[in-house]
Amino acid sequence: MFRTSNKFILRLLALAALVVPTLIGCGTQESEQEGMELVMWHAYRGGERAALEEVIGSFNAENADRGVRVRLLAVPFDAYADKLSAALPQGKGPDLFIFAQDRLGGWVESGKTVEPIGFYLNPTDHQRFLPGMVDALTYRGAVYGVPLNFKSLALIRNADLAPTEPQTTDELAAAARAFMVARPGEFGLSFEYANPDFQGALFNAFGGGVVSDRGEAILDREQNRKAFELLLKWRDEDKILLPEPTGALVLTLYNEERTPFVISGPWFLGEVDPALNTIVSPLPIIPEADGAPIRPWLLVEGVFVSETAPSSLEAFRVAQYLTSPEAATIFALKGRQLPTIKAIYDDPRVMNDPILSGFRQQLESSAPLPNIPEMAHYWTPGTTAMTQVLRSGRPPADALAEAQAEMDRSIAEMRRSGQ
Amino acid sequence: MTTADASLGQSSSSVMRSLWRDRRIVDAVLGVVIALSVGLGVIMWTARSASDGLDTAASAGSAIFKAEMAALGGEAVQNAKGADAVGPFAAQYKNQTGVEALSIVSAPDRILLADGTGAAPRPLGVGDKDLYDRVVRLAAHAETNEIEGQKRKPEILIAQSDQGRYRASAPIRSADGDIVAMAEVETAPVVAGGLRLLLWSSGGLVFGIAGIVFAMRQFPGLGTQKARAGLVVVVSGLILMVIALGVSAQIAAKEEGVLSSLALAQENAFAAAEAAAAAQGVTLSKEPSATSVRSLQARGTATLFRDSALFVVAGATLMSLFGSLGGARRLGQTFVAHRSAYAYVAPAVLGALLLVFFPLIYGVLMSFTDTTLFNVNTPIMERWTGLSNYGAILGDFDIVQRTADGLRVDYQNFYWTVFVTLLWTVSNVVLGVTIGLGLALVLNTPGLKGKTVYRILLVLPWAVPNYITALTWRGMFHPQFGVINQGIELAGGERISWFDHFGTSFLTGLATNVWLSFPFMMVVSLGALQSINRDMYEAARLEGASWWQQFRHITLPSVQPALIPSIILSVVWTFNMFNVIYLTSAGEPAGANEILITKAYKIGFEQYRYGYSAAYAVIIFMILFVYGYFQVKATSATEAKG
Repeated sequence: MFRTSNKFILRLLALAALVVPTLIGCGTQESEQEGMELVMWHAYRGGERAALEEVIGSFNAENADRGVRVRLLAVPFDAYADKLSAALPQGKGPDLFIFAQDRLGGWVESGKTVEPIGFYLNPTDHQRFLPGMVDALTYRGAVYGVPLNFKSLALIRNADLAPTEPQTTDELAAAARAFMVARPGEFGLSFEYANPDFQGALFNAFGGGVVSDRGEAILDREQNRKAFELLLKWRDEDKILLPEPTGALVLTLYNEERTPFVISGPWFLGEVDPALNTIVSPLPIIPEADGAPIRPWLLVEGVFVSETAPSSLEAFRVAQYLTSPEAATIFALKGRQLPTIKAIYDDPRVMNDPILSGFRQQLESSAPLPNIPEMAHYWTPGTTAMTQVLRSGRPPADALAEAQAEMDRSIAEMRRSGQ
Repeated sequence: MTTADASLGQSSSSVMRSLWRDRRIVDAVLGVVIALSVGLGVIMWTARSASDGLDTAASAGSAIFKAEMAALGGEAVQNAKGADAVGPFAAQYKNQTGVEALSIVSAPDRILLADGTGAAPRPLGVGDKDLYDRVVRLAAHAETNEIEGQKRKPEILIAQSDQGRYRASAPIRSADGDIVAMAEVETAPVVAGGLRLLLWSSGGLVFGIAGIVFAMRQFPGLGTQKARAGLVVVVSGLILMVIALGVSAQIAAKEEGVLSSLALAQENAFAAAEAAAAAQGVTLSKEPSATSVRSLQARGTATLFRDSALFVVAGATLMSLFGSLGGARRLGQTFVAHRSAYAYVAPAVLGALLLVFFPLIYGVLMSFTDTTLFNVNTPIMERWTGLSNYGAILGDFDIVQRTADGLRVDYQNFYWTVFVTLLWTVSNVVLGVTIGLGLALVLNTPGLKGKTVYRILLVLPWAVPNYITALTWRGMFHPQFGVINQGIELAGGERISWFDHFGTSFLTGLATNVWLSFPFMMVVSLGALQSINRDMYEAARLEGASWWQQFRHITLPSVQPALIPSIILSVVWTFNMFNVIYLTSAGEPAGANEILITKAYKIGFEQYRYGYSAAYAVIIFMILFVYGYFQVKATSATEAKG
């Protein structure tokens, strides 16, 4: 009995020896320096990440005497949004983070996530951004983020395979057909048309859309049906579309010079072979839509401040720094991003860049992606509708009507639950 | 000395000891203690949070004014003359109602703050960000309510200010109904009275235990354990019900008091506002209020509490059976007898509690609510909907619909998904076991050269992470560039659009998962095969048995004890094989090829209907639990058969 209890005590001590240092170690992770450290999350890789790290490095250097420091943390993109949604309300998330506007409405509605910073923006601040940028980060009258950069789809073409810029979709189809005649077995126009992100561009061009400003689903419309019909025409009559497109497939074909036209965004260019003669131009106009251009959704990435940040004013100052002309130059030239401030586009280095200027021109005909929570109810029924039309040959009107009914139902349920 | 005298002479401690030794009484008391502690604990916890909510409303309600300080707010604040009038108005209002702090913030584009001292309004400064945010938030709530046509967002904000006082912010509307200003009052906290919860709980426990002991001493003829357990259930259920109804009545009374004091406060405030406005020469309109008393936190709190309390009573009473049927006592005895063993196991148990049981219980609780993105941070009682999620899932029998195109299957329907999941599970397990067992038989051939090499190669599919395999197979099934279609073309056939129809899409998943699962079956079968005595085959061959008869009567029974648990495991894994379905076919076409777990994921994380998705997950769990239980019982899988 005595021996057993002795061994038992010894084993307990051994266990404690493992556990206690760990606990102590946890305790000393808190910073013992004076001043404030702000944690900032982002999901950048490659050039964008290097640019961000450089800008934050100079911010830290300039603010060292005030004792304010920013610590960056790169989070993988797949889990990024969910991590934010889960961590921020518990106070375990960052003080600042960079994200697009698509989840803003949802975050504001569920609460305890983002802090409104409209209070700090004065009229001159509003003026220095391109039109529509601050509005994209505004939900129900409150501004939640400082716009950092924007992205949208545009027409990316290999200028060696397709020397002229198509102005209309008919010209685009003709050029694609010509390529396919010259190179049998290849495809003229490659883009992920089954992806609902891309479908929005056509909806908007015809004057349709997904949700109204008041959060009602507007899928079941004549204009959206016409958008589907144009897509089907490209696939079945003109036969220029790549079947079963995925992002990886489009990239591979483009890099192997097996397709001249791609519709994609700045993220695509990060992986394109730099040896290719790539030119970005605005998406062409659609004669069937009364000459309206294809209107891709505009994503605005902003710097958001968490509700649990120690000082929203300091966090806002960081956001201001990131949108200064000096920082914007670094983001544009090294990160290959499109800053939101007007001043940067007077810089000849930016305006003469065929890629940056192409996306900038596309901005004129982009429509901001709605940031309201009702928008989140589009993706699943929208994908279903597209699949039914593209694969099972269901008439667009029926598919859209069913998707609309599904959206109405889930939006109503979401609103009912909030009572 | 008679027995009675002897018993009278015994000390109380020996009486207690004799009670303790009576197993039946111990069981019954444990049953009552378990039921009462669980039940009382939960009831008191919810009662406290309900009471706190009412306290908050009561405190702020002592001076809230209605939103129709319309005419004054509209014109007076919006023009220059009005900006001067706001200060004196605020001062007079403060004097007449006796509120401690009052501020009025004018329209957002002007942002002028008047603080009830009568001084001229001033613009907001850097430290006034919270105030500005409240103004914008109030306007946003009103806009949301107007768009959605319901009062989902509160139009009077109640919070505790930094000094611990309760602050209420209400909108001021112009004659057109637009919000042009916000008014805030602060008051010291008002205590609305306690619920005497401690008294209820301690009284309940004492009565419960005493009652049981008394009943059992008086009626020693309560023969069977089941009868005693039934008595415990009845007694503890009655006590808990009495307590629940009593506390609920108290909460209802408190709620009524809060609501009537709120209404009274509003009348007083409006009267004071009218008087103050009249002194400025302005008449207030008497339009009905846009914000009702009910928009404050006192919203059917008592009814919600009572419903959830009765639910808890039922659950806690059932839990008493654990004690009264002897389970708790036996558990306690084993704890004492094997203390050191339990001490070693304790860290793992703690880990399992935190990582497995807590999320499980949380998920089950959430399945009884209608939690979505909007209300994920509200108290759980406000989201409670009982069994409506289950009703919606299990009661939806519209699998096939008649439309203009003919009959269409509704792929979102639960029963269709169950059908697909069962088809998926059965076909995968059958194929996996057949191929696995077949390969094991081949590999078990005596004298086979290179057996090790074959074994390693055949186990490789299991070693590769299954999401990589799923994505690779997805690429192979690509209609244009995929290897499989190109192979079919080479063989002279026509390309198949794998993801266009349910049948072919199902086959893609099946191929991928069989590829993933046969190595496991093969390894298990091989292990079992190698333990079979070769002599039995010799004897059978001498007797003239065919290969099939040898297989049926020697091989299969020996392999069965290893294979049955593996099949059970495989059924559970395959039933929940998320990766293969989600990554290979993604449920194409249009959700027809989804299994229950991918459907639950989509509902939860693409539509943000967390409560509904949790109910789905609980249903999946129940299906597998029932299956596992009956399968184990039916096959007595752990025993080897001769």
